[in-house]
Amino acid sequence: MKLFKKIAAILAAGAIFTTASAFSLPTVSAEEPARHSVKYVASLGEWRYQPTTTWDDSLNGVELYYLKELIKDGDVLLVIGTGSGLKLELDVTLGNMTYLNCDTSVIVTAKGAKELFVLRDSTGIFNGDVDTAYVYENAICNLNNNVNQLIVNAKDTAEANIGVLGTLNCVTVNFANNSSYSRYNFKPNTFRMANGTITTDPANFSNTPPAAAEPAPAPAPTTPDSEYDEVPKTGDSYMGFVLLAAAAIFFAGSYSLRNKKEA
Amino acid sequence: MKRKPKIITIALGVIGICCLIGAIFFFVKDFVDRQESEDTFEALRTSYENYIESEPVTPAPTSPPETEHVTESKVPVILDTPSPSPSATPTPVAITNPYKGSFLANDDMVAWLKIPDTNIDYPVMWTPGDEEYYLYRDFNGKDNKNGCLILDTDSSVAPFTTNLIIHGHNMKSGAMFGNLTDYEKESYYDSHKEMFLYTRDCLKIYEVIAVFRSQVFKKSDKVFKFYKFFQADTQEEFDDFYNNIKKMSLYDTGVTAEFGDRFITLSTCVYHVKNGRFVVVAREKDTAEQYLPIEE
Repeated sequence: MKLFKKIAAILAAGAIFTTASAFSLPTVSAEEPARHSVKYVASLGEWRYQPTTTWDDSLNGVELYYLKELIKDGDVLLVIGTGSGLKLELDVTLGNMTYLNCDTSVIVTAKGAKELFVLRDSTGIFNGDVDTAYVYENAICNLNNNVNQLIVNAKDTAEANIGVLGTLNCVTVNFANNSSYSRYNFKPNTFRMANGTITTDPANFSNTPPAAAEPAPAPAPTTPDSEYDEVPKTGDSYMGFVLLAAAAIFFAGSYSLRNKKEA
Repeated sequence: MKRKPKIITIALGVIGICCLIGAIFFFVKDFVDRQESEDTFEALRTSYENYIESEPVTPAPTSPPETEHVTESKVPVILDTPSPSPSATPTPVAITNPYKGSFLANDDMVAWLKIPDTNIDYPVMWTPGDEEYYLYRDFNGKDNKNGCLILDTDSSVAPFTTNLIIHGHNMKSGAMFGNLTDYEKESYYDSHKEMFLYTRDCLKIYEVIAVFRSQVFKKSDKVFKFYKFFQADTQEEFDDFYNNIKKMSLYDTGVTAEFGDRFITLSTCVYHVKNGRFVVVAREKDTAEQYLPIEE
């Protein structure tokens, strides 16, 4: 009876624990990317932060410290204006990074950026790999890591000045008259555009897109060390003997218990 | 408190009875499977014997042949046909396949293996689509734990690969390859040096060249794997197989081989190590008979 009570108590405790855990399970849902703005506030003489991409000039914002606390992977960051140099180091991969009216004193370092925009009359210096960079009109841009795709949006003529220190897979220059051209496979630290003209040595890039890559072969399944060669198993079954031995053990156990009881 | 030991006593007894019933079931099933398997194979062997008795072997047309009976058991007479010119090579005359009935009874049968004076006298099945189909089925496809001898799907008799690997169960009753492990004794080998393989087209005679214990290894193991050798297209490939089987052999049979020779490998499970195998390798010695195409 005592043993039964103990077992019942353990089972009840386990049931309570399981039920309680189920109610407190955190639910996971995809979060919308948050928006952040950083701007040089002349009245304060420093860069300030607001958790929005529509900067409210009526507010001074808060210290940059809060940006570093709040920003996370995939968020949107807008850097506005110029002032005393800004060296912003973020330990995240940005979903969107935009430079608006910035100059060469603004340097942003991050793990990377999915999209990067350097708007007209701006300078954008970014440390981190970029998936797609958009450079507009007379913008100046230094991308100090690898870039997958660079899109230069020009008016009648291209004016941008761009350097890429890493590799550049593809650059496309679009004009207002809907014409465009593309170049491919720039070697590391070779892409240079000066006043809208690619000045890279032609030996360091290709005018034609690379051949469509063959789908990567499925990785060979790694053989667990315990996996044996497949060879037909030609043994005989000993189940009958095993059961016979088990029967003997159980009978012996039953018999000895019976004798013990009688004694 | 007194009830508890009584309950346990009864429970142990009941479990013991259940285990005993289970053991009896398995023993009876084993016995029934063995009987059915033997009956099936015996019927096939009987058809062969009937053929041998009714269809004498046609001698070569040149001169009266000298016949040599290998043993008194039902092994076909091997003709040695001397000709007036000692340099002339005897040409085997195509005859009716003695296992014609068995070949016709099941298309999956590709050969018949016989080791004289042993119980190894069975059809060899080949199912490339499902290598282990006959591993637990009898010749007629019925479930049976004795199964049939199966030819490894990487081996072939049409055309012949360098090595034919035949797998068979090591049955406690001695059926299938249950007595193959007798080759562990050299004295047994001395009186059972040859084996015969009847295919659709011909009779091949093999002489034992090596006997050893091995195992199935892990895929990542870089060792000699006897079960991976099917074809030797180069001297190096041949030497690798030949040198390893000679090195592993439990005794020296005195039989040698050279590049171009063909082999047959008989493999069965043993339990000296995990996934252990007992292996007998024989070298093709002769093509004794050529058979007419099998037709209905």
